[in-house]
Amino acid sequence: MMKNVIERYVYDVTRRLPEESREEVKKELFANIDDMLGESRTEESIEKVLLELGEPRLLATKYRTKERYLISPAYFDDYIRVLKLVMIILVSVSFFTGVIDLVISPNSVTPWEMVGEVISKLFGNMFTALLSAFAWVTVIFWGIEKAQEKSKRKEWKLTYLPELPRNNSPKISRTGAIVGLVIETIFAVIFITLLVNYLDNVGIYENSTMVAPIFNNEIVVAFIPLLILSASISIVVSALKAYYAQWSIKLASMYSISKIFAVVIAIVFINYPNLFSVLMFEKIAGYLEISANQVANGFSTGIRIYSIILGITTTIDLIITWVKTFKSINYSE
Amino acid sequence: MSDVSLLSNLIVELRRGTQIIAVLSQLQENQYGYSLLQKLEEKQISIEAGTLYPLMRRLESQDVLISEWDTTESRPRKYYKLSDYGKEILVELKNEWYKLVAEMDALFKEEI
Repeated sequence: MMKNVIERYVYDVTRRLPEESREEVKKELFANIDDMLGESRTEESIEKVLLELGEPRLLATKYRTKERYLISPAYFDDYIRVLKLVMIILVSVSFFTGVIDLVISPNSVTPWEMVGEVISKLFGNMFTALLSAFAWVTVIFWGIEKAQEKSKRKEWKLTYLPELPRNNSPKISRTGAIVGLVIETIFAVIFITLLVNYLDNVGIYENSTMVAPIFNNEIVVAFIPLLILSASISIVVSALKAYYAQWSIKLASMYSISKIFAVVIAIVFINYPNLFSVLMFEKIAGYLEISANQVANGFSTGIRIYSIILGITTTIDLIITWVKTFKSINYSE
Repeated sequence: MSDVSLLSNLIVELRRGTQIIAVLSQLQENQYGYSLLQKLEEKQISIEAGTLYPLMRRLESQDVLISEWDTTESRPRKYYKLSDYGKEILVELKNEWYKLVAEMDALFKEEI
């Protein structure tokens, strides 16, 4: 037997009501329940009456005279649209700053660890960005809502109507996507074949004999599975892009993930400590008549700049992709 | 299947607008929540208890109904009835109702 069900029921309704009406509603509700029960006080009849009155949450909303919203239906569409845009921008920016952070201070040992760290850091950043985007946009809209409540709604005028959008539904060019796919596949195959089969022959040659390898080969070997994985994912997603030829949330998400993954791996790879062989630096230093240290420094500066450019271009690419995606979704609706 | 629930939704929607006039019409005399519920039920007007009680309170806050607690009996009860303002409102609503019925009749006759 549940104890004090009626009291608990009434409490559950009245606690959701404004202070000033609580006492009165409580008294009245008790009286009503009492009347509905009549002489029968069994557990069954109590249950029947309370179920008839319905869920306390719903009953309480009926007692309230004013409808309450965080975001009212009139503003909901605008809210969602702004939210999407702000989320795209904040997530992109957090991705970009994450990449920069990674370039400036890598601190893991093995390639797998480093990629894991970077991905978890990037996604952590992006998640935080999503949450703060949500919080800010919601608070601002809530403020607008409150302000509107106080002042009378402005008279609506014809001049408020938006311009018609100019272009047609944005689509992916199928030819472009297929060409991209082919080029991507060819490069990936050449690059990976080179790494897998001819790694020992990658170096600086003098009179057709290799005098210095470019890479520290054991590091490259450790990266090969990651590079193959990233290339395969990119190729699959490019194929999907050519197949659908129209941006959707699903496609854009897969595209973003594959892009981010590929960029992260590329950046980790080129920034990896001791990727390039000291012998190569010495050789180049010999040609240029400067110290091997200067060559090494020049290399790492160049790589950092390249990484940041890569981060920026990817960020821009992703922003454009998502904007196109939401446009194409709005068109198809 | 969904047609059945669509139809019943539409019926609920249609009837919802008549709830207030039905309730007001039965409040010439003092009624407490449950007695009004039963009175409406006897006349085949079905309204949920969870809808009726808050509605009475709302109408009171809008000065359409007046209420008083009767604490002389073993069970305290809150009695409601039409205020003078409420009576005026009911007359107007009834006029509107007859107009509505006539308009709808005219519409439906055209169709046949």
